[in-house]
Amino acid sequence: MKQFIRNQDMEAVQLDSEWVILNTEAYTVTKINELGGCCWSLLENPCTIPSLIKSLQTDYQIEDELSFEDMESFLSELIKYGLIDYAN
Amino acid sequence: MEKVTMRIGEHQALIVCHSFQILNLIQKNYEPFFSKIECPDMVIHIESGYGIPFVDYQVEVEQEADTISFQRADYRIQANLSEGKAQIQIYDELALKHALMNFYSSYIVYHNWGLLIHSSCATEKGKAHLFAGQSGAGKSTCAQLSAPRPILSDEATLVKVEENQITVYNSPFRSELSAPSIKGTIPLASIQLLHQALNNERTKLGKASALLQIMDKVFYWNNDREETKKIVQMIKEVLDYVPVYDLYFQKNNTFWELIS
Repeated sequence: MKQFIRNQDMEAVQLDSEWVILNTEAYTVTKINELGGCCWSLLENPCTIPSLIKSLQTDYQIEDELSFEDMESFLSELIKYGLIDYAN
Repeated sequence: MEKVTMRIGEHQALIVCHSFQILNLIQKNYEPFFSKIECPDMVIHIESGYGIPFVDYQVEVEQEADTISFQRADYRIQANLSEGKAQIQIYDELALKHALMNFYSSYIVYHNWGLLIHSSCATEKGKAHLFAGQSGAGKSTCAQLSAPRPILSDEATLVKVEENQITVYNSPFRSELSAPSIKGTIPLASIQLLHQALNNERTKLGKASALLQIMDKVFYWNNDREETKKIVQMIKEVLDYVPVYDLYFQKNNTFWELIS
């Protein structure tokens, strides 16, 4: 199963409940919400989509229903902006 | 060679002019900031006779071990930011101002002192209020409409970032309004992002949106990774103390009712 991990040289800043991720290579900034910020924290280590969903529900007590497709779509966005990549 | 000494922010600068033409330009634009100094933080040599008239804002940056150079059609800077030394060559008066802003903004970011922000800034009741926006957004207009409040800047605001306070210095980098004599610093109380409109309205921004907005209003040219991180961290510290608003304003002074 595909694993995902943060790219090097990203600088993330938490501002209240939101996060701003700075891609210091491409010089872009991306704003994500609190749930996205939890994902970002987890992506310090390689994660699969099911492992991300499980960790959000257990470690971060996220009660919202998280679908595989939503997570896949969010991760595709992060890949598109060069913030994460496939780990394997 | 003629030498003058002045203060920019809390920094002491020794300016070495290689011609009377340069000395005249420095006197014309920066005389209110001339001051006796004890030990210069910055030593800036300025020569004329470089390049061609202003073409665009494109600056080429080259970083070497302990020097950095900035080059535009109408100016060239070779600097050692750690030691505060610079050799500046210019074409004309506009190039002189932009080159000094380029060097000084790089110097204060390098030393984690603060930020030069593309904005105007007015004071009221001992507090500073900053108006940011791209060219044409109304920065100078806001400054002019703020009379008789003292104006700390009309183009480039000099913000010192410390752990527990954010303060504004009188900016020598002026566009239209000449600098009043303001000594000391004024605490920054608010930041407005300007939008000209038919009605006045002020709405508070979330910090993340504010960070994105302010990032591209900082005068900065070097894409160095570590320096960019410093800018982000300094903006974050500003946002911990200072609220940021979208300000929709009519072209008269009534918008101050929303700020005061």
